[in-house]
Amino acid sequence: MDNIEKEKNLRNEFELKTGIKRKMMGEEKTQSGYAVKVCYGPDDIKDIDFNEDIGFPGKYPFTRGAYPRMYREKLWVRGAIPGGMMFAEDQGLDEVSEFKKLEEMGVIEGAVRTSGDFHNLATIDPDHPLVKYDIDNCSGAKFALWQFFNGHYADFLKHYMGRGTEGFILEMGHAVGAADSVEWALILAYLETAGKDISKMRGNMVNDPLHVQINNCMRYKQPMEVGWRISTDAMEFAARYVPHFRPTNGGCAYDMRESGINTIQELGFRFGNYIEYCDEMVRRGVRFEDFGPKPAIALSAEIDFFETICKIRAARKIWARLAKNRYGVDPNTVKCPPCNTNGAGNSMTCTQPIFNVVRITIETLASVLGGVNGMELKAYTEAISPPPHEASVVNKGIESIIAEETGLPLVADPLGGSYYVEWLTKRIEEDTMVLINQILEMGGMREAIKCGWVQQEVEKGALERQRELMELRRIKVGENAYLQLNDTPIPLPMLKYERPTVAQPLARHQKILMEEWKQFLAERDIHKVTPALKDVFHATKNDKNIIRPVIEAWKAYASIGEIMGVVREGLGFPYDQFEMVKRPDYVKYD
Amino acid sequence: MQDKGLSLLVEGLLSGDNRSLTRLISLVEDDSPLLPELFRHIYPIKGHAHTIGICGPPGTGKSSLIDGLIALLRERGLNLGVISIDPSSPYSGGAVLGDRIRMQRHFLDESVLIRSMATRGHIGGLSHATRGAVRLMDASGKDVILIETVGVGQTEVEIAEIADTTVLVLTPGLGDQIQVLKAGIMEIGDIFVVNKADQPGAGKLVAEIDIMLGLNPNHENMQAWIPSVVKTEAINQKGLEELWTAVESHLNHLKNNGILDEKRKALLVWETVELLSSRIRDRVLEKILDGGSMDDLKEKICKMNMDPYSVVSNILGSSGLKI
Amino acid sequence: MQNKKVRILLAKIGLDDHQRSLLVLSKGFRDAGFEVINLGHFQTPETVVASAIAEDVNAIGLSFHTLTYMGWVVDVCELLEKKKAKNIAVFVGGTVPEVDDKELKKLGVKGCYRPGALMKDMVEEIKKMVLGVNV
Repeated sequence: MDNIEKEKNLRNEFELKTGIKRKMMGEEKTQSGYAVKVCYGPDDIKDIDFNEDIGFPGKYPFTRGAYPRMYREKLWVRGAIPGGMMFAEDQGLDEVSEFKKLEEMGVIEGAVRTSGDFHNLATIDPDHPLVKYDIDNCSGAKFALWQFFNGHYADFLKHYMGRGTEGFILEMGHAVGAADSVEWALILAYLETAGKDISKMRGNMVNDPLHVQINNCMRYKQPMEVGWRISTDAMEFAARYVPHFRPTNGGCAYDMRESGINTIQELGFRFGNYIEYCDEMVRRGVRFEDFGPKPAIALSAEIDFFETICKIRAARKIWARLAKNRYGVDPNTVKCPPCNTNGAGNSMTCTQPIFNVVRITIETLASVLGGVNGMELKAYTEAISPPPHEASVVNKGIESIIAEETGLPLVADPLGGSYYVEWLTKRIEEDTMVLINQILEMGGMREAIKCGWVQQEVEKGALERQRELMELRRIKVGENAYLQLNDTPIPLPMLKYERPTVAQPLARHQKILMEEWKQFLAERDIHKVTPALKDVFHATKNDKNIIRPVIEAWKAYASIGEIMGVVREGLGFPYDQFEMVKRPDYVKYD
Repeated sequence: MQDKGLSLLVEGLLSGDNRSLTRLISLVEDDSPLLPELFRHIYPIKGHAHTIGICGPPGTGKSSLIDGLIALLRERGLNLGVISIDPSSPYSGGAVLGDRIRMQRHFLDESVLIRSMATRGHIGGLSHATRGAVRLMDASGKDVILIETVGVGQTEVEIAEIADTTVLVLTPGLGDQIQVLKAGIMEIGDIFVVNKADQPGAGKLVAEIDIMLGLNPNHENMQAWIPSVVKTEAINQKGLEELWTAVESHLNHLKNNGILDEKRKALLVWETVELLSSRIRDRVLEKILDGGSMDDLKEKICKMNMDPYSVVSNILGSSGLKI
Repeated sequence: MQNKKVRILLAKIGLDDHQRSLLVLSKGFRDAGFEVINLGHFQTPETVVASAIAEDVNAIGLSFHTLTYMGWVVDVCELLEKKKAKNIAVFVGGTVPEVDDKELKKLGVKGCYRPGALMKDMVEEIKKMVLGVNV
């Protein structure tokens, strides 16, 4: 009620003053606070040099695209996550059949993105006291190599996570550093067990151990040193032995953006993280060329149309500058990493889901005009519930119409040369470089996190985002303004799922998973587990790369909680970060 | 005992049941009319608890220190009571009792009772119910009682009356603490802890404390206790053994020199005078309010438009009390 | 003079790693005159019930933002029953859908609050519930 009154008052005030019947609300600034003119002209881009700042796609500084022929050569790649599908079992739905349907539909085209269960993210076992009812509630729970060969997940795991050497791209999206790396080692263990050559594996993982220190969520008390160690070991392992795999996205800008920061901070913190990883790899003797161009630049596709486009262009430019000036690569031979976007969850509303379809379309358009190489669209149910099959159909429709009917993919960076777009791109690039230098002066991103400065910036941002909405400086149609539109609800299909009840607090699939966990424990040979874990411990303690011992531990049928528990102890932390579970007797280090 | 519920609780308390203990503490906090009866029964029961007060500025890691001490003492099989005090808001009367959250690993240990208390308007660093709570914990057979007080300042010295041993916790890098804390709190420390001793400035802080203690006139008195200074890193469980040794040493000193008895006598007197003052204040105020509210009284005072002394004479005069 | 205060314990059970709701609630209840013991997140039914009994609180407030919260609430209520502590009133809040209200009331939960619930309403109901139960 309050917002409608405010809206009416604003309108009345303006109309009285000007006699003009309609006005936009909100500020006359972009989403990140750039005050913009009514119109831009040649004077605004006087300081921009075509060769230095714009150029052509596929050429330094890559402002206009990573590849020379852009979409004529390769259309953007899409990944799909059906989530929460397990709770719709009574309708005959489950994750495997849903993925298969999406493959048939062309939504999954040789690439799939997986997410993780809470216990995977925390890297603890399914029988940990904190897991109980939260097991298998988000995405498939994975705890051992045994699951690839036994139990109800075996087909799914083999089909969607086990074909990396056959060109089926897997993107692991736990995002949490330790969770991604340890699971990647599990997949490598499977591939080797199945007789595949891991050096041929393709795919990527988010694997950013630093962003969770900032976000204030998804940390699960995992010490920063643990995430850092296994994540950077995985990056080095990939550089040396799995060269086609992208072992990190260099900084999970999307998650950080969702915590409340703006565009400059999104890019600044992302590249801050990226520099930490590159510097670490160089320190370990890995050439920049073998690591630096691997991480795909993953950003958020916000609802602010032009800011998103310019952000994407600026991001490639910034990467190019860093590669040349900080890491000394030859701009004529270096290859630009792909740039991906993830639709902004914070832009979605829980009222009128059909409006979300419009938002998704706009964000997709912005991504295409920015020249991304991959994108992940949100479902129209984002703010409400897990997505039904219909949401995937809608998104495939949006994306196919843009690809086939609009003519957009024919010309690369069609907005290049626009006065406004070039002006905004340059502003974003400059301001981001200032922030990056500020972070470097603090000693780098890790130092900035340790002293709490980054977290403070995020907190400030979160508060400001909240205020913007409450003060109507930022409008969300149907949520804080134009509320009268909600009086005509336009329902869209939602996922109907079986809710846990008092009588049945555990869903069937959860019970099955716990049964399989028990079966796994009963069937494995503990005498193989003990020495394998001992090796992981000593490798951790003695500063060796732990990925190989971790792969061998997976093969010996150690579990996720055991492997990471041993790594935690190797670095001087408790076996269980929640201190509720003690190291089991069969885990011995002498 | 007349009240049946109360007698069941006391029975429970004396058999070591923490549930009865915590409910009786609530009665003390709420100023229950059953208190005289309760303490008539509790007072003669002499336990053997060693009461230790932990005070210091915010940010020095008091809660982590206590968490570490609890772990240490539990290893030695001791039964513990912990009282954690936080300030009540002077505006709303509510409080966020935020110390318990730092002692997570002891939540399921039945030999540790952690009881959070709010000051409820009481000044001095403790709650008015703290002394009563300590008596109850002692009567229930606790070996050690740890009291974590509210912050530190010149006036939060009440802890020294109630605790057998007072530990003051400081950390390097909090500014010129010794200069600021010259009077009051620095005088009551039996043991000084420099926590987060791995941080730069720890050595300097220890030296400053030593110098200040060297100026202590009690140096001349052979019987006096010379406060010890202990370095700890509570988060890494370092220095806690040394701290506990110093604490036990202090208790022995108190016992051997008859000081403990003297202290306890002084405490009883102080406690009684406090209670007497508080009861008298309540009764007089009741008489003056004469069925009305504090707001009525405040309004009356404003209407009188006289200096405070005249107002008071007026009010007392018309109350019928011969004061 | 009687000085009774409402003592409430707040916690998040399970692996959900969001703490903000507890901080906002702590401040809100404190401003309403309650004494708030905030256990934070990553609690189990056992730690919640043990703490509630040790602190002699009048009420437990549980905050959930996951689909799978029901089992945890069942466990807390059963544990309170087992420990003969049913006098402690349980309140549940967060993304708890209305369709579950009946089930929760049957368990003995005294109130369910959703995003948008006003602090003052929660405070009134809890005060009434608690001071009514314990007097």
